[in-house]
Amino acid sequence: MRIALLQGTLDLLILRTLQGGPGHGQGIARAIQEQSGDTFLVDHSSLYPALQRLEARGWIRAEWGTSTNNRRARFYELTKAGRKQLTVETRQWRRLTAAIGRILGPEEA
Amino acid sequence: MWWWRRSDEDFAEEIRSNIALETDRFIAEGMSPEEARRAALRAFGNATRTRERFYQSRRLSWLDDLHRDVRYACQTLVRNPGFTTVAVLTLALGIGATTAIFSLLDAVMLRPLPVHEPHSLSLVYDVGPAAAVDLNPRGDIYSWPLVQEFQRALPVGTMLAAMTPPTPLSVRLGDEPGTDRIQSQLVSGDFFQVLGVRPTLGRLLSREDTRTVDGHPVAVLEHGFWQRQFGADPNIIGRHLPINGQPFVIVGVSELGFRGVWADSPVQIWVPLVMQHALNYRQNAATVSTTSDTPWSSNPRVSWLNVVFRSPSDQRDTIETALARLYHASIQVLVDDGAETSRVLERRLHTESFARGFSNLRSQYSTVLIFLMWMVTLLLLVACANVANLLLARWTARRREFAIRLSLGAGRGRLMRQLITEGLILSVIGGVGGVLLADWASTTLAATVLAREVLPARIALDTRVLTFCVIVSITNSLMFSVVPSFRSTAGALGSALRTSGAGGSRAALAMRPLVVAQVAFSVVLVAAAGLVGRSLVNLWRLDPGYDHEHIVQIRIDPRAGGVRTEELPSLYRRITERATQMPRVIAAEVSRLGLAGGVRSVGSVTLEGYVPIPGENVRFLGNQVGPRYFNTVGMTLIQGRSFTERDVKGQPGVAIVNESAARRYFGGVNEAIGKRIDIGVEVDFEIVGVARDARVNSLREAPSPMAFYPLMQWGYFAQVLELRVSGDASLVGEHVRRMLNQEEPRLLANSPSAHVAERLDRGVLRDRLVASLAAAFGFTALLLSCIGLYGALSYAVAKRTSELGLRMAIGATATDVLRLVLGSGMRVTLIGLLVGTLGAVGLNRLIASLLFGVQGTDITTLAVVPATIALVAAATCWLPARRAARIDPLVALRCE
Repeated sequence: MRIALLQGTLDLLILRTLQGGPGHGQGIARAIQEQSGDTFLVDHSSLYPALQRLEARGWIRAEWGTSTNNRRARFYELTKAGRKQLTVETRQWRRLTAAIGRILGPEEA
Repeated sequence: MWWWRRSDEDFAEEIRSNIALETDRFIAEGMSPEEARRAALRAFGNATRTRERFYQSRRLSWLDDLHRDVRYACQTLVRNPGFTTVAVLTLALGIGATTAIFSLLDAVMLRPLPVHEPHSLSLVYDVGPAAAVDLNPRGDIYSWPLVQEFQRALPVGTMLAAMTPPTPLSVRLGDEPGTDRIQSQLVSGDFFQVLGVRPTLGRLLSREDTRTVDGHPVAVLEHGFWQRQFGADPNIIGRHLPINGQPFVIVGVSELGFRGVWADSPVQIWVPLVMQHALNYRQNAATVSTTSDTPWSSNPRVSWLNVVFRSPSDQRDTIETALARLYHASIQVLVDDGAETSRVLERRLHTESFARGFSNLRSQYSTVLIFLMWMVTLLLLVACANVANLLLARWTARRREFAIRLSLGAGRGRLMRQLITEGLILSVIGGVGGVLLADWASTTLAATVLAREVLPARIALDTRVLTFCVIVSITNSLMFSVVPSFRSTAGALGSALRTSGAGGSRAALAMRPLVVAQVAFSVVLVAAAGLVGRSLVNLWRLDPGYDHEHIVQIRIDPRAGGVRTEELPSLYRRITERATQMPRVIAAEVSRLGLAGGVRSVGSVTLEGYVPIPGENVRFLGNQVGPRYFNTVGMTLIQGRSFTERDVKGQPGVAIVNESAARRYFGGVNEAIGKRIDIGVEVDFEIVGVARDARVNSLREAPSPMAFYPLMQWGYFAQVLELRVSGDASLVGEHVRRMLNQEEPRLLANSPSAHVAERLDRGVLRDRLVASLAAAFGFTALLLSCIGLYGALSYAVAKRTSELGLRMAIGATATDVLRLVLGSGMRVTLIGLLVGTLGAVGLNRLIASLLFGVQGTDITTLAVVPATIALVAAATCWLPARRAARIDPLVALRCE
C-alpha cells in the first residue's frame, strides 16, 4: 500500500538518498521508491520544487553531468551544510517517531 | 534567496532529461520505446504544472504577470473601441471635473505663498474684547513706533516686515494728464529681505528708506507691471513716477513671480511706509484720540500696519511672548480712560503661520469651493458607477471564457488581477484625458469668470494637482473594477458553461444598485444646481433701490491732488455742472463713498427717543453726499425733504435715514422726522427725510439702518463722482473722466470709470460661478445616469431576448413587453429618485449660506427636479423597451 509522504519529509529523504553519492532527479525518485519498498511514490511535481528549495538553501548543489547510460542529466550532491542538516533532521525525526511510538503503544497483533 | 537564479530553459532541460532517463529504465524493464515514453510521461505527472510552479517560485513573476496583463488588457480594449471610448470619456469627465475643482481649491485655500521658505513666516495678531474705539474682536494692525519696538525685541538675525494692505494709489503713468489706480503697498525697509525677494533691476528697499518722515520718495515696481507698462525698459531706474500727485523715483524692479503677500490682490508698486503722510494714505487704521492729520509713521496712536516675521519655528513662542509684552505696555500707555483700559488690556497678542499669506478669496470662497468639491465627488461617483456598470455587463458576457479558463486551472485571484488591470488601464487613459480636460477647464474658468475677481494668477496643473489626479484615478479604478471582477468570476463553473442566460440575469441584478445610486446622486446634484440657480435668479431680479443700470462712477481724490478744504464747495459745484453739460449725462453728484461696495457702519449711535436693550450696540451705515444725490442715483425719498445747497458748515446738522432705520428705531416713517441722531462726532443731526431702502453695498446684503449726511456740512473730501447717463454707460463715463482730467487735473479723476450695474454684478460673481458650475455638474451627472440606465436596460433586454420571445410566442402582446421592460427600468429609477430626494433634503441644508431667497428644503425644487429626472429616465427606458417589444419570437427562440 502506498502512503502519501508527510509534509516536510521529502526534503529529509532526498538528503538521505544523496548521502550515498550524487544522483539525478529521476534516480532520487527511484531510490526513494525502491528503498521504501514501493510505499512512497515520489510525485515529480513535488520533487523538483523540493530540489530547488534545497539548492536555494545551499544544502545541495547541482551540476550537469552524464548518466551511466550516457544521457545528460543534472546531478545533485550534498554540501557540507547539507550533511549537517541531514544529521540534525535525522535526529529530530527519530525523536519524533520514538515519541509518537510511545504514545501509540506496542503494535497490536 | 533572491540572488539565486536559474533560467526557465535550464529547468525545462532537466525535466526533459529526467523523462528520458525514466523512459530508458522502462525500456530496460522490457517495454517498447513507445510504451516506455508514455509510461514515463504518466509517471511524471503534469510537467507543465511543475514548470509553472518553478516559474512562480521566482520572486519577480508578478512583474511578468503585470506585463502580460497590461498587454492582454490593451488588446481587449482595442478590440472593443465603442466600449473603451464611452468608458474613457466618462472617466475623463469625472476625473477632469474633480481635478479642475481641486486645482481651484488648492490655488485659493491650500497653496503656500510663492516666497522663500513660506513656512517660517508668522503673522502677528491680537484678539479680545472690543474697546471704545470699536476694535474688531480680532485685529492685526499696529503703529509704526510699536513695530519698531517689536523689531528691537527680536532675536539677532530675525527680521520683521510691516506693511499696509494693498491699496489703489493714483499713479500717472504716461506724459498725458490723467492717472490710473494702481494696486500699491506701503512697506517697511526690511519687507523684501524678510520675504526673500531679490531685485531684477536696480535695488529693493532697505532700512535706509525709512529714516525720515516723507523723506524717501522711492518706488519699486513689480516685475510683470514693469513688463506690461514699461515694455521691460532696462533704463527705467531713476525715472520719475508721480504717485498721488507726489514725485517719486523708480529705484528697482522686483523678482519675477513675486506679487506681494495677498494671494488674490497682486501689488504692482511698493513704496516706503514713511511716505504715508505725503501720499495722503488714510485707510484701514485704528486711531486712539488723535487727529489723523499728523504723519502716521511717527504716531504711536495710529495702528495701520500688518506685521510678519520670519523665524525658526522653535523660536516662534519666545518671540510671541516678547512681542506680547511690548504690545501690552503700549496699550497701557495709550488708553487713558481707566474704565476702558481694563477691557482693552484683556486683549492678547498671538502669532500664527503666515505660509499661505493673506487672502480675501479664501474667506469668501472657502464654502463655495468645498461645496463644489462635494459636487464633483458625487459626479465622480456617478461616473464610477457608470464604468462599473459597463464592465459588469462586459465581463458577465465573458463569463463563459472565464469559466473555461478557471476549469483549465487558472487561479481566480489571477483572473481577477487581470480584470482589475483592465480597469486600471481604463483609469489611466481616463486620467490623462481628465488632466487635459482639467487644464482646459481651469484655464477657461480663470479666464472668464474669475479673472475679473483677480483670482490667483497661478491655477496651474502642478505636481500637487497631478498627484491628486493620480490618486483619484487609481482609487477610482479599484472602486469600479474590484466588485465586478469579483462577481463575474464567481459562481458555479458548470452553469456558466452550460448557459449564458443565468449569468445575464445575475448581472442585471448587480447593476440595479449601481443605477439606483446614479439616479440618487443625480437628484442631489440637480437639486443643488436648481437651488443655487434660483438664488441667482432671485439676486438678479432684486431691485437694489437705485438706477444701477444708468449710473457710472468716477473715482476722484482731490485731497491727494492738493485741493484745500475751503475750495471744495466751488470745486464740487463746478465739476457737477460741467459733467451735466456733457452729452448723454442726465445728472451728476459727488459723495464720499460710492454705490455697490465700501459703505461701512459705525457703532455706539445714540438716537432720540430710542432706548437700547442693555448691551445693544446701535450701528448705522453712513455716507456723506451732495445735495442732488438722491435725484442723481434714483433713490426715492418717501418722507421729508432732500438736502439742499444751504445744508453747509455752520448750519444745523441734518440727516436723512432709510426706511429700515425709521421703522426699527422710531416706530415709523413719519415718526422719524425731526428726531435727532448722535453718531459720536461734535454735532448731532436732525432727521429731515426718509429714503427708501437700498442695497448700497451688494445685492446679497439686506438693507440695514443707514443715514446720509450733507457732504458740505462735514467738509469731507468726496471720493466718488456719480453720473446718471443714457446710452453706453462706460463710454460716457470715460468721456467725462477725460474731460475732467483736462480741466481739473487736481481732482485726480482715476481711470477706469465703473458702471454700477457691473459692480453689482461682480458682487454676485460667486453666485454665478456656483450656479453655472453646479448646473454643469448636475447636467453631466444626469447624462451619465441616463447612459447607465440605458446600458443596464439594453443589456437586460439583450439577455432576456429568448425569454421575451417565449412570452410573445405564448401570447404576450408588444404592449405587455413594453410595459414589462419600461416597468423594470422605472422601478429602479423611482427607488433612486426617492433615495436622492431624501439625500437632497439632508445635504442641501448644508449649503444654506450659499442660497438667497430660497430654502434648502424648497418644496418646488424638490418636486420639480425628481419629476424632470423621472421624465428623462422614462424617455431613456423607452428605447430599449421598444426594442424589446419588436422582438420577433421566432428569431429569438431560434437563437438559443
